[in-house]
Amino acid sequence: MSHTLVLPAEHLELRRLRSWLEKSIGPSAHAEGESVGPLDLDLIGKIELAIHEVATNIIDHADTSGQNISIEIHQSPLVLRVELRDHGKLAALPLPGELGAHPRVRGYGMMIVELLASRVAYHRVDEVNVWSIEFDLTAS
Amino acid sequence: MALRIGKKDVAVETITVTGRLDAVQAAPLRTTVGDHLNQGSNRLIVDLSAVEFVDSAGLAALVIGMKRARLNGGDLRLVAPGHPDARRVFALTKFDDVFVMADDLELANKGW
Repeated sequence: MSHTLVLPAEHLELRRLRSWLEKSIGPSAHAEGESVGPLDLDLIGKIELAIHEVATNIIDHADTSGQNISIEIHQSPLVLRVELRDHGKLAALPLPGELGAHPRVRGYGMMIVELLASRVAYHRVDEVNVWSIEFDLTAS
Repeated sequence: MALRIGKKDVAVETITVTGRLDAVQAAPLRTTVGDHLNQGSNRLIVDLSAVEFVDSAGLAALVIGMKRARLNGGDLRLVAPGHPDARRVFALTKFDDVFVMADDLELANKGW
């Protein structure tokens, strides 16, 4: 089962993510008998934050002003995969933040994504940046 | 999000944030916190109890303020968010151990 959302590459537009996710994969999203079940709100919150952080990274670093970000969800019984596509410049990954008593103030976004997801990957194909985030739906 | 600024007494400033503390709202929060620090107020409380969502940009705004306040001999404390989607970022990054986080404003005001 797949769902797609296309957003202008602007921070304010990311506020549409939550309602789209709930409508697409939330507790009331699926009918009985479908091969995949609805996801609980806690997991949807984690998925929203991960997508939000990747999209924020795109907006802040990929020079996508005036462009769109395409977000696709592919759900199977075991894995939910999110793919974000943009036509911005080649991604330059920020360094992860440093935890502890002397915290840095930048670079937490992608670290948060890595902590939330079971797999994060980036590749560039034909001038398109593709971020892939996977969530293990069998994890407790 | 809305920012409301209150003053408990001459020493402690309270900034109340509501809604979503995301990249959109991080900038005005950084400005507000920075204004207080520039004016010599180095004991700040940011009340996040009515915040629904916090992202890394919102977290960064708070961390910058906290670091500046501590360098000035004060602190930037938090009233903890009640919503799990707002608490998540603090737990993931372990900043819930770095900030002084209280369950309500009264507790946040104690023991300066």
